[in-house]
Amino acid sequence: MRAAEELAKRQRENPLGPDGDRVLKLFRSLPPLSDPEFEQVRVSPNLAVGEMNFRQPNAKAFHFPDGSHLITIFSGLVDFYSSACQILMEAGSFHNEKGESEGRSLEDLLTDLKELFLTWTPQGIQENRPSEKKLSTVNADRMASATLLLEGALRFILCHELGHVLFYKPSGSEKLSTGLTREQETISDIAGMQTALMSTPTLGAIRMNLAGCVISLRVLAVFATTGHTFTGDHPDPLNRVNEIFAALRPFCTSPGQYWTVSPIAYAFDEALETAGQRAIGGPDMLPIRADRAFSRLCAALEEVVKERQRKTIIVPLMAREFAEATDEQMAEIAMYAAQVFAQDSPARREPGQRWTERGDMFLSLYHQWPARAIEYFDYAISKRKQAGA
Amino acid sequence: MAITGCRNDALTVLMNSLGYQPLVLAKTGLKAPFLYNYKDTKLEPIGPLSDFLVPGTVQPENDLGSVPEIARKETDKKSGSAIASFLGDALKVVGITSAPKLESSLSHGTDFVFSFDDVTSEGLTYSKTAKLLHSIDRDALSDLPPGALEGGYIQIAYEFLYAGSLGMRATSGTSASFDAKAIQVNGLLDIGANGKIEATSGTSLSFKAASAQRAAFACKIGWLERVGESLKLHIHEDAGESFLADEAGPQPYLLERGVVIRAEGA
Repeated sequence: MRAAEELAKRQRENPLGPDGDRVLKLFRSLPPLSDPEFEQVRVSPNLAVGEMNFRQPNAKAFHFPDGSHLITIFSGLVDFYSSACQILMEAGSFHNEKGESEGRSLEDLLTDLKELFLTWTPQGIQENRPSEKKLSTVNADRMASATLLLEGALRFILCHELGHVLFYKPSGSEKLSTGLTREQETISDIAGMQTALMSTPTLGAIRMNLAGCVISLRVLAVFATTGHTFTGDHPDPLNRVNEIFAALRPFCTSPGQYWTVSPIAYAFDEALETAGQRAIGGPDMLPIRADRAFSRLCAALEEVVKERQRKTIIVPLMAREFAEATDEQMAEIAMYAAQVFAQDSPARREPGQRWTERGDMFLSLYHQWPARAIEYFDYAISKRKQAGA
Repeated sequence: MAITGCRNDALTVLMNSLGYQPLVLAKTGLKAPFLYNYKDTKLEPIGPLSDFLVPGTVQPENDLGSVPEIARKETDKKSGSAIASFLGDALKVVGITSAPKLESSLSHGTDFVFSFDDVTSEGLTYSKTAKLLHSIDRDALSDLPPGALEGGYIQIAYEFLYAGSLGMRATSGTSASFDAKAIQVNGLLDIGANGKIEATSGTSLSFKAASAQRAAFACKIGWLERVGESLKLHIHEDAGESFLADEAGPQPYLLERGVVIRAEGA
């Protein structure tokens, strides 16, 4: 099979590092895919998958005349994701009023991520800066989480690349157009996301896998601003990030499930976007986004009901967003809150997600929210009651 | 395994960067364009492209040129048994086919580097070769190894490199007793009757063949794909589908980077 021969040749030309073929190892751990067409590609004997030792953070699909296909992720992309995941996992889950947590400070985290992006510019790669960059050692627990996150990111990329095999149409003409349509790219991304969500029954791992999908695309979106050249046949990575979040909503059975599986994805996505913006000399803070603000609120409430944080973190944590959000954003946040926190919310009946306690906690803080926020919450909750009646 | 010698030798890397695949060929006198079957790192000669053209096709004269970028560029240091092995292959390139006999004292403790001189190219350009493919005799294609064309294993070497002489130099910092002139005079190195050795300096030897029959030592190569009713020659490495563009741009197609490929039957 040409694909396997090509992979072997490239691996002889550029031998892999001491960890061997990390991509093949991960591919072999992929669970059966829910989409039968994608699953058929995954198990195809005509498919070869492996790592290629190139510094560029890239992934490729090759198609051969004997009908075989090769999916490869470059070592540069694995290494970049690995570094980013370690940095992200060094952060504590929440920071107190002084920006402190059991992990590193948020500012340190953003600085490290910014430096990482600056190290991995095309020029930095050419100057071999990535191999000179050493990360601080993280403890075993955090390393295990970083590995889960990394696997989530790579699994997503692999599933996306399966789409490049599935939708490949050999052309009979001289001009071979093998690129996917925009719709096919999106289908491939969604298949990757669904695989991430369905590959484990554990909530923690589902969250980490989803975060992996999102960060894999957010990293590409930042690369698009730090000098990397994207091919014309892939959609804008920023749109792909947004589409993943949009596709997640209908995939989840309820708003409660959506906000349960997505907090790490939202938090890491925001951290990477902020760091990327700083890397190109942009402002230190991102504009407010309603979904990120609400995700942060949900995650903070969860930490408190699980007694991992004190209740006093919540109101200060949301102060900026509740004060500065536009009217539309406040209305959106309030709508989300009504969906999961209101007394009659179906989310409260969903087992294992602690929406009842989170909702009660949210309502118990009601008098502490800014008057403007209360107004929006009251309106959204009353509207919800009317709709229910 | 048809890959021979050390990986990423300096001369191999240089040739690769210029788009050439270093080779050890079985025969002298082969002319480009020449067809090979390359599968599982085995390079099997098939025959000249002219054998597969519609009878009467006028094939253009091969272009001739010199390649100063490669001439006198040295390999990495060779030591021990690698000296005789490399020398044997390299002598064939300049037309000296008998296996060299080295006095063991010659290579003991001395490292050598090799280089090719008077390097010339002969073959067709990509465009001329591609144009010839329009005159392929479809019936003749059935003589190709079964499945080889469909699998993309058929290669066309469309330009060969030849060398007029081979240089061998004892590197500095090695045995002080090495004396190129003494080797020439005392016959410590025997290359048979069809070659001659000349000491070009106190530490350097040059080898030339008595006859002009040389073997190519590198080629520019592409692979053939059947696209509909036509054949397409690919001379660039497949870039694949990716989200990032290749920053180095299109790379020349090679059988394998960093190595010398020994053709079957060599």
